[in-house]
Amino acid sequence: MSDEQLRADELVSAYLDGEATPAEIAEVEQDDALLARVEQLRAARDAAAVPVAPLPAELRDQMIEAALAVADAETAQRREARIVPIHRRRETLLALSVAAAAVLIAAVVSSGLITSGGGDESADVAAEAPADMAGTSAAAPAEEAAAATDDNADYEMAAEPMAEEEPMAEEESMVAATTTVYAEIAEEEAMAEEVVATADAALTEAVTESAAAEPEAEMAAPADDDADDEPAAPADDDADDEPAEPAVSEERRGADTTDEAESVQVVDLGPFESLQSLFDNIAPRWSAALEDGATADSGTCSAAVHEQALRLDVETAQPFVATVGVEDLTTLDGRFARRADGAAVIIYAAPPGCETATYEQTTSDGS
Amino acid sequence: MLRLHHDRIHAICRRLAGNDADGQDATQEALIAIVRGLPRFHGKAKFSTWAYRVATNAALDELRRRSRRPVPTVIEAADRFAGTPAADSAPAVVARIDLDAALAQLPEEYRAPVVLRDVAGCDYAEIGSILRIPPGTVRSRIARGRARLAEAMQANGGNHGGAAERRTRRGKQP
Repeated sequence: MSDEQLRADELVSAYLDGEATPAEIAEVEQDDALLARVEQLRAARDAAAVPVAPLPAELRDQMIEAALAVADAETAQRREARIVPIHRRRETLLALSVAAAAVLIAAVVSSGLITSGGGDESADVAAEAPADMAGTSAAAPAEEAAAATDDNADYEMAAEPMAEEEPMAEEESMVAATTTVYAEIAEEEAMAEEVVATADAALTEAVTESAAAEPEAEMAAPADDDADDEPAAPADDDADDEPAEPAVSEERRGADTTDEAESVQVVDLGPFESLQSLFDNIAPRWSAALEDGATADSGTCSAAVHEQALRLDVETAQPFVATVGVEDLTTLDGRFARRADGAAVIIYAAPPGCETATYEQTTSDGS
Repeated sequence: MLRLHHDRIHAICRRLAGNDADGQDATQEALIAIVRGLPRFHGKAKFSTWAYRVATNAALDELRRRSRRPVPTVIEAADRFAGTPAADSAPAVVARIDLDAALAQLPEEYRAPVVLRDVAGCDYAEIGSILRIPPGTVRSRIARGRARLAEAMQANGGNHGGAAERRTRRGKQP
């Protein structure tokens, strides 16, 4: 197919779709060959446009329910597999280690007490105790205690020298302390869980609000979307799908971020050959990057951009970062913004010097 | 939202996939992908634009998966259509098979813009946003796709009379 034929087909195809300029329309309508081609391509277009029979409502609902079920199951799975922050694990391990060390030290100290003279007095006391309990003479506590075991298993331990009684009490106190430590750890863990759960709930709420807001937006401007009988709307009518909608964006940022403005998502728009190329292509790239979730840390000069935005007293949208140039790459920080007079601008800054400037978008949609 | 856009999403998937079964699979995949992706949808583009992009990708993925498994013959496809409610007459079945065959001959890069334009009724700017190509490229790909479609239809003996009669309600008719 020759270049001329390709150009003619483009012209004719655009004419059929209502996407041709007035000059192109005139060109087609004055040329019999092009008009003949219009009929050929119209047949192809009409064949391709044969409506697809909608699926039965039951099947449609089943498919939607299945999609929702998959998403719900994945969400539940993610919640179950919640990751404990590593610093929390470290803290827990540290506390356990301290507790274990304390118990060990207590054991060592108590055995030291037994070995030393300090244990004699206790030993005497201990020797008397089983004797009293068993109702036998104190001369042979071990034998008596052995006899006592048959009577009452609770006294079994009395056969051991009771000198350990005091250290055991000490140990018990250590164990109690350890238990307290465990309890504190558990409490901290519970608090952490609570914080995570709160954040989770907030996130879920934000997502729900976001999802709930879409139908309203869709209902508000369904003109070309739902009007099957309407001809394709020209590009200007679809301006609302273009990226820069500062007011909405600000609102969304308010919902998504809590108190730290520094955590605002910076959208990575990727590389551009030149600054002009960025200005020409920023709208689709912006939209695409947002939907891809392509984010990046803002480089330097964000502050400069921010100051400029404030000085201009404009609403700002989410910041973006892009690389500009072919060989000599420059990182550029920027924001969409809307001046007080309603004009959409891009505020950007790039090193070196972090100089700021604005670029007025000249697209027909005014975004 | 899913219910609102379901028919259009299914239409895109069906036309891109080339048959009912793959079209339904692609539609299901698209619906799942849309639900999964909702948290990442920032509302910067229209929901429909975003959803159609997801649907297009799902259908193209289905096509790629299908290319790795045996392709049903035309006769098998006709048998499958025979039981569907929409295929109420033999000429309709033939026209649909011819259309699917003709679309199948189009390279993916032409088929997607043609389907988005003629089936989903998207304008060039929206198609550019969905496929992430400039509107000028959309214009040229649609033209080339239609030209090839016209050739394929002529080669198939022009069995598209029935289809041509039921012209789309979308798009301008200059």
